[in-house]
Amino acid sequence: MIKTSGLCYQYLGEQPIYFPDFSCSPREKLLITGPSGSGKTTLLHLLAGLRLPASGDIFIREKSLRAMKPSQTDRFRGRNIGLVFQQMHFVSSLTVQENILLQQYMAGLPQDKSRADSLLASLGLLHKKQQKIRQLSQGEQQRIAIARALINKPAVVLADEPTSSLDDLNSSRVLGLLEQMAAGENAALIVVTHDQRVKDFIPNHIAL
Amino acid sequence: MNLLQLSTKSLWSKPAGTGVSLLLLSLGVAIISLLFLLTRQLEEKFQKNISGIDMVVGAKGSPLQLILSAVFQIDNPTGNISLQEAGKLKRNRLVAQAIPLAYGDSYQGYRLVGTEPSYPKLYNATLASGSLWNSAYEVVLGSQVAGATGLKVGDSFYSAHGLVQGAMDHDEHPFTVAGILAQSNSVLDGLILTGLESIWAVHEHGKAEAPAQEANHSAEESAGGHTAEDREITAMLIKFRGPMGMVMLPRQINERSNMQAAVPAVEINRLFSLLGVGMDLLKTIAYAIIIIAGFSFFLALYNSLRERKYELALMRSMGASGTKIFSLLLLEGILLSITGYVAGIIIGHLGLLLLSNFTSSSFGYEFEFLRLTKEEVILAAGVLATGMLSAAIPAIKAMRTPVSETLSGSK
Repeated sequence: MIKTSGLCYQYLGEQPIYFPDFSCSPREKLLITGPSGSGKTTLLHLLAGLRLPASGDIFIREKSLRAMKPSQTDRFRGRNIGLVFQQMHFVSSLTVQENILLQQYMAGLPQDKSRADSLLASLGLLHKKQQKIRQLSQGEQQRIAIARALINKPAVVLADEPTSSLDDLNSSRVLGLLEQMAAGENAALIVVTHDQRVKDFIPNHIAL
Repeated sequence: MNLLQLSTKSLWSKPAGTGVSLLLLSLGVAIISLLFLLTRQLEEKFQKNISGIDMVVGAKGSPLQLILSAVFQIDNPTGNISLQEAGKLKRNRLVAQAIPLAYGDSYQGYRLVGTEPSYPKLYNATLASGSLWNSAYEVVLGSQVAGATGLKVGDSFYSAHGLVQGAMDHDEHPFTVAGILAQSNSVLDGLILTGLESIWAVHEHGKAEAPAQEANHSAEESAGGHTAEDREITAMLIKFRGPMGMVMLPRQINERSNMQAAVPAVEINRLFSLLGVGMDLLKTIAYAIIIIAGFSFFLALYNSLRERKYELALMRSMGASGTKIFSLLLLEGILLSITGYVAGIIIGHLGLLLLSNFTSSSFGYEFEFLRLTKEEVILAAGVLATGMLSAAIPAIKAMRTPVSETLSGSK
């Protein structure tokens, strides 16, 4: 469960950006769209606690992000928020499996290899777990990112342009998996994108 | 997965960036460790060999040369002195012990030294097999000589005239091995001992056939064929009865006789202060190399941040605190310095092993290459500090990587 109230962010020397209030329950999906520069990524980073809002607050599992100290925010994010980025961000020196376990280690949770394996299996990538990230295709990398986002059973999965670098086939495959697995793990799913293809998957829609 | 594995894998995935710095660091450490080992073990060896010898009397010349040849058996003799004149010292009431030495011949590069049983006793040497020499042409081998030549009790050999291998042989009368000394870690290990009379006898025979000898060879041969009053020795090791001897005798001998007296402790100090300048210079260079290695660590880590900032921001987004990122980078610096230190110590000790093989074949001197000196342990702390210092600034920068801006690609 994630809920926002009166969120506002202001870049130095620019007009403040006001965001509409919304909430998203477990197994629910929410699509946030808008043209470039409308603050989509900014909103996503606010939701993830990567930036602090000028005013307003975000509640995840009834906890206020505003009330937390920076180090608490880091740990809370690691345990309760799964992030999928537009660019494929991985630790290149690690294998597929290690990259997924890294999310557990960094969040201060015990590392569960069998859970990582079962997530990889449901994404159809178990046979690649010992490979280096570089050896995987873009579509495969994005599926690994989904496994990583879900490994800690987060309350909410935040996906920033998860499909923009993928072709139609991979795009629908990744979206399908993202949707299906977030629901399977009881997580709320918020996708931020300007990609029109996503609208067919997520009817619940906020435009910035 | 933990911080240690993470930093190891990260370092391992980019060996080119850190390889040069590692090479530099291990080179610096190797030089310093070799110098520490050398000075320490040389000093110990020298101290051990001069214990019990307060003064050395020999022919006029360089006092250092006299000490090096008579006490350490690593230089040429300064010349000969009359046994009669040196013998008077023995009866001096300030002298507790006087050991005559006659040398200048060798076998396979190992020196043949004519002396008295008091010489091996000076170093508390014990026999591993056989007995001490009883008559002329009987010898006792040092442990290293026995090991290198393979000679056993009862075997015989011909000595060579001069101190270098392949010099002209004295082939009239062979020497017979009467005994072999146990290892004493002193100069004795590389010597062949015999009675003074053997040396005199060899040169009595040799005199008739080979009257002309090379200049640097000590001139025991002039003793040949003459009466006991004309017999000569090369040097005499003196131990005083009390401190009065040190005050009186060296001056007396140097001023009033045609012999020279040298004090080992003084000459060795002089030698080390001369060597010290070179050692200090080398050490300074090695420390400079280590500092340069530190700088190059710093540059390698700092430059790697540009490509790693996404990974580091990613780790932050996964819940890692800034402190954890700082520790990760610092750990990389620590790992690098430990690796460089260990590699350097191994190289330094292997270097000493090579050097030891060389010195043992040319001087009969060996070094223990497995021992770790106290200075090397202190060096470890220094190297570790260098690694941590050079990683600190990149680590702080990494800790401050703006997560949101980096992930969205705006910075």
